[in-house]
Formats: sequence, C-alpha cells, structure tokens
Amino acid sequence: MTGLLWLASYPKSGNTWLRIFLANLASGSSAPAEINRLTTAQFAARELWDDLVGWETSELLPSEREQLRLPAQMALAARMPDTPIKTHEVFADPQDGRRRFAAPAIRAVLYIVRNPLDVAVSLSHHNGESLDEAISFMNDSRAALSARANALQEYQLICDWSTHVRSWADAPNLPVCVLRYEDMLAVPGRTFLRAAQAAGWPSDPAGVARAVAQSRFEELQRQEVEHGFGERMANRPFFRQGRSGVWRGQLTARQVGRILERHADTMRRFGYLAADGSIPR
Amino acid sequence: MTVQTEVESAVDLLPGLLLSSPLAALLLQREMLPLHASAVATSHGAAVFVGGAAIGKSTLAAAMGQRGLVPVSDDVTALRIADHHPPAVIPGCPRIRLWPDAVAALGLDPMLPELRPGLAKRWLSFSGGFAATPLPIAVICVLDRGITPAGTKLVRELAGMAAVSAMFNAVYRPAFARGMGLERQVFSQATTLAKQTRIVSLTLPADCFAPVDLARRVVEELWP
Repeated sequence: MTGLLWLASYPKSGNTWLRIFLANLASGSSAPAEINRLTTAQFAARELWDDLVGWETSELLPSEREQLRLPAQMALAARMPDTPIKTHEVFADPQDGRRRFAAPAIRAVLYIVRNPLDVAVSLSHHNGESLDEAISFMNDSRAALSARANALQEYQLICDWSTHVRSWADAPNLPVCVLRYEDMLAVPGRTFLRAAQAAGWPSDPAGVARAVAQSRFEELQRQEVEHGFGERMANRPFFRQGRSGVWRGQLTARQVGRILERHADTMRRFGYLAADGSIPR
Repeated sequence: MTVQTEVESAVDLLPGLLLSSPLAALLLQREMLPLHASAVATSHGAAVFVGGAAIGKSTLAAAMGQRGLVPVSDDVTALRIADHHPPAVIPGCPRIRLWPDAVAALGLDPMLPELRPGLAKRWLSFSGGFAATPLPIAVICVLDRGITPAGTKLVRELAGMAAVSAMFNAVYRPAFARGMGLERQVFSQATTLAKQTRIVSLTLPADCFAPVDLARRVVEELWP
C-alpha cells in the first residue's frame, strides 16, 4: 500500500493519544515511547511545509499556499510514506466542496470523534478561554486555526464540529476508520486493535495490548509532569483528565443547549444523544 | 544568477524572491554552506543566530543592529568552510525581514517597505552597504525558546555531537543538498564547522522581553 496514514480529528479529541499508541506499537520496546519524541508529523507545521515546498511559505500569499496544498501532500507521501500525519483540518471545504486532501496521497485515515460536550471543556482549558468562547468556536461554520500570518502553523480550516465530523466520516471513497474517543477509553484493546488493522500496522493482540498499556493516561501524565510536553499551550497541562463525561458539572444548561442546538443530529448518530433527546451516561 | 523579468514592476520583488531558496541552492553549488540564520559583525567576529522558523533570528539581529552592530545577513547566511581558513561568514545584503510585531517591538516605523505587496513582512535596511570581506565566525548561537527563571543564564556552551547535530539541523533547505547529491559535502562542512567554531545554545525567554534589552544581555553573556 502506498500513500499517507492520516490521523484526523477535531481538536482535543484524542489525536495525540492515538499518535502515542502508534509510536508504542511501532517501537516494539518494553519502555514507553517518549511523548516529546513522537515521530508523527503535523501537516500544518510550517517548517514541514517550508521543507516540502522548498520555500519560505510565510512569504507566499494565502492563495499561493492554497495552490501548494495538494502537491505538498504528494511530496510528503513520497518522502515519508511510513510516518503517520496528524491533521485537525476539515476534509473538504463545504463552501465549494473542494477536497483539501489529495486522494492519491491517502492510504488510510483514522478519524477520531469525541462527544462535543467534552470537547468544549477540553478546548476551553487548552486554549485558556471561557467555555462560551470554546462553544462559539465549535459552532462557527468557518472556524480556523493559525489564521495569523506569522504563526508557526499553516492556516487550517476546521469549520464547526458537525461539519468536521461529517466531512471525514461521510467522504465518498475515502478509506476512513472512525474511532470513538469514548470507545478508546472504555474498550481500548478492541478499539486500538481496529485502528492498527485499519492502518495496516502490526496488529497481533499481544503487541496491541502492550502498546495500549504503554499509552495509559497515567503514563502520559507522568511523563508530562517530569519532562513537560512541547505541544501544550502556555504552561497548562495537556494530559488533564483522560475520561469521558467531564462536561457534567462544568457546562451550564444554557451551554449544553448551545451545543445541542447546533450538533444534535451528529451527536445522535455517534451515540452522544439518545432518540428521546436525553444524554446517555 | 541571471534574471529576466517580464514586467518592470517585478524588479522590486526580486530581492525577496532571490535572497532565500535560490540563493541557498546557488551557495550549495558553489561549495559554500547555507545556514538558516541571521548574522551580525562584532568586534570579535561574526555572531551567527540559527534556529527554526519564527524563533526570533531576524528580530535579534535587528536589535543588535540598533545597538550599533552591523547586520551582515538575514535568513540565509553563507559560510565559507575551507582548508587553511577559519570558518567565515560571507556578508550578504544588510537588510532584514521583520514581521509587524517585531517592527513594533523594535520601535520601528510601521510603514517600512513591504517584502511583497499584500504580505505583512517588512524590510529593514541598514546603512553601510555590503561588507567586502569574509568575517571569521566568533560564535554560532542556536536559538530556542523556554522558561528562563531570574538568575539563569541564557547562553550554554555546546560541544561534541550536540554541536554537530545543531549545525546539521541549521542547514537551509537540506532537501536541496539531497536533491543535488551534495549530502556528503554538507555533512563534512557542518562537522568541520562544529569542530572549529564556538557553538552555544541561546534560550530566548518565552515571556515578553524587549529585543534591545535581550540583545544587550546576549552580548554580555557571550563576552563577559
């Protein structure tokens, strides 16, 4: 198989956890992978773009950078075919339907979906902003990351939470495996085994079980406390709780309502909302 | 390098376009080592600042310029690594690319010339023009950002594999060397550079720090 293995998710949905699992699965070592030495590439990283394009991309106009997206992915597939690539971007721009990912450069996609009620809490903490601001971001149909020209990451179109999920989960002819964050927590052996199989990686149950154990939340927290974590914002802990249902007791009824109003259909589809409108435990 | 523009107005764009990747490719072909770096002339020799994108190389060089040191290159810094000569910087154009936030932090005119129409980056030029002769390197500073509690040094000496690895990582567009089959040349030059030059890590405070104050502190720590 050729092409890239994409690890796609809305922000704060478990992408880093999956990357760490894959690093542990690949290493085959009895020692857990170091969280600050993950070999996964982030497609939005400006230095990666500069290297792929052979140019200081911050000195290109936004329209020029857009034209380079798909060729950059083809170059990445040729150069790093075995490296999982992380992205938080939407698969296709809903405004014009244009794909933001080059089909020939895709081998497989692991897409993680997480209860948006929990995403709101995690996002608010990660960005150091209020819950209402996080919810507004999740409801914004044109939400984007790194919109500043001199940011260290490329502009990333995220869109609202539902559009993001459906964009990946419903993309026609896309070899996508959708994983629920809650299943990664509740039945890790089975869920991570499915991820390994979809990725085309070694998937013997013993190896998967070892990698799952090495990627335990307590281990990630231990490493972060001891060595810090390069991907966290400011000095706020990145690996914070690692459980589902954290929104209870944190979101007000009005805030829950703001999310349901916008995302009820998608939540129902992925089991985050019952048919009668109640929220399952 | 011969360049022919199709429209007269494109001439203004050329410095921004040519003094980056094309220059680096040309330097590799001429057996010089292009580093992703800015450099200033000091009384000790050239001080070179290497580091990743947007780490603060240009801002630091500009702040050094405000303290009277002469910037000699920005973004791509050409090094001569030759037998019987100490490693030296080949001076380039004395102008620096700056983002608006750096322009503001340096207290400069926000209406400095644009690098390209429609782009926020600006050019800061220094008087004095081209320096004609290679400048032996006094120090290469490998920039990173971090927490620097009061009383801790920003500068730490690097040696051995850490220095070699830092120089190898500082090469501008290493894919060009791979593409031209010049990896051995680059590896040999980076290794020689690490052996023959003072290399230090320089941690830029993650919290706000006036660039001119930072430049003063860096000079004081480099040459106590």
